[in-house]
Amino acid sequence: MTPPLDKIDIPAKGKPSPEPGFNFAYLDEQTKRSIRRALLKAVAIPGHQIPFGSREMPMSYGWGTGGIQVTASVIGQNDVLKVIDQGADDTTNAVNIRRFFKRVCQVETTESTAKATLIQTRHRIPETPLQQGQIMVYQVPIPEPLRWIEPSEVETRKMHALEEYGPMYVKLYEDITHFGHIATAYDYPVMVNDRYMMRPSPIPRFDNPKLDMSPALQLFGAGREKRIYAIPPYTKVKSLDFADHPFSVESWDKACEFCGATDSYLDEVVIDNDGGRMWICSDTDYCSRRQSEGEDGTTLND
Amino acid sequence: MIQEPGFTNPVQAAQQTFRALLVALANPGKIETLKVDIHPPEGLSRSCGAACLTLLDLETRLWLQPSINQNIQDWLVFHAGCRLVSQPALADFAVILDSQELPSLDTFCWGTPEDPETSTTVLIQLERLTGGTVKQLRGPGILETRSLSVPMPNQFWADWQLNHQSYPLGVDSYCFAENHLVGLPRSVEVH
Repeated sequence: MTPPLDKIDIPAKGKPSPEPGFNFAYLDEQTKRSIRRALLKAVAIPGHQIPFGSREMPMSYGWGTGGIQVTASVIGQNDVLKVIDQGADDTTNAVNIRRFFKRVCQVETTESTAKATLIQTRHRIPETPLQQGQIMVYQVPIPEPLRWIEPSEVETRKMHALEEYGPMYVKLYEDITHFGHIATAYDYPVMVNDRYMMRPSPIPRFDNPKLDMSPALQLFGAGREKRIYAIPPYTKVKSLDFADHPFSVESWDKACEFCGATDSYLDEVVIDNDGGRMWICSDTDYCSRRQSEGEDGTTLND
Repeated sequence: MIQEPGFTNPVQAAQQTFRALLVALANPGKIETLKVDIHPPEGLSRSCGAACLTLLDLETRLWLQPSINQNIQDWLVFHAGCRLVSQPALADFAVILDSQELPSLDTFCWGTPEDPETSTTVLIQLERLTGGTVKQLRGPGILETRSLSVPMPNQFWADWQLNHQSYPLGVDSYCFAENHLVGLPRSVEVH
């Protein structure tokens, strides 16, 4: 009888023998090559969505199948991988993806943004500034920014070809007429390299400025929708706005109750049945690093 | 009959080569060095041979410069399984070993406005990647400007102006010499 997979001893690092019966990084070489070709075209045409033959992955759509396929095609034995889900290294999605790559690649993993060479993310960009040479991989649910305006893929491809982006401005302007401000809080549309409109994946609007002129290479993978796109390092990424309603990010009149940070994206957490709540950093690595440096937020919000 | 082997370690070597290709295209004009074990046939540099085996397979159409010898052609077809085409405009990838005889860039496929990614990627092998006229590059992947002195014929740079102006249409190219490579995506502006 074959032993269950989790009973098979994984050889020590340095011996590149991945999970028995699977190729290094899970995907077969043919699939990797087709994804790699798509990635190169994506880098050459920043913000343009490239179709690719997305494979079934050992997890459901919506759990990062696009990001995983991009990571699997890029990752090498010497990479140090970090995976975050909504900023946290310790949530189910992040832990599972990290464990998956540890198993099929035997790569080193980390929670530290500074130590990672490859960061797969769901819905956040780390607070710690990215560096040159790092690669970000975003998990994307819906890649097409014009999808809720124009349901037809044939039409949206034409709209991108013709740079026909007026309807998106109308949608944002409708926000202003209804609410007095642009109410889009996440997945806020951007223009890449002054040419293609792009969805930055559901990162909060707070993270949009970090996309612009980032020293890191940013890759986006949408598994269900079968699209790959990219932003090379040092590329202009402009969040859409109007002259009289300039783009702005969220701010809080609170500090993180763990580390006292006032410059990071805060999650509101309900802590009891009486409506009690607290605000804490969404980026767990940033928060714990600040705490280990002696920062303390317990008294700041009183 | 094919005597020369391909990659010694195909999985890891393809990953390392791809990573160098990715970094080179994301940082146009920056010379990347490749350290993979490969012994391509005489006349094909290690970096160019590695790039071919990393990118080409039975899904890709390859155009070879007519002066390329049979031995190199057989090696590529055997190890990559790619299909050869007779017209550069039909090719996903083109391999150029004699840069002086490089056809005009507009003979390759430039893609369509809706699918600019269907364009040809031109792989050019040179003796070396420095020593030519110094050019200043600008564009995505470059903080301010980056200088590059890759010895390409003047006609290539003249063609490149039109190639860049037609963005998002146009070809992407790589130059290779020995273990080194440099990427020139269509988004880059050259002065």
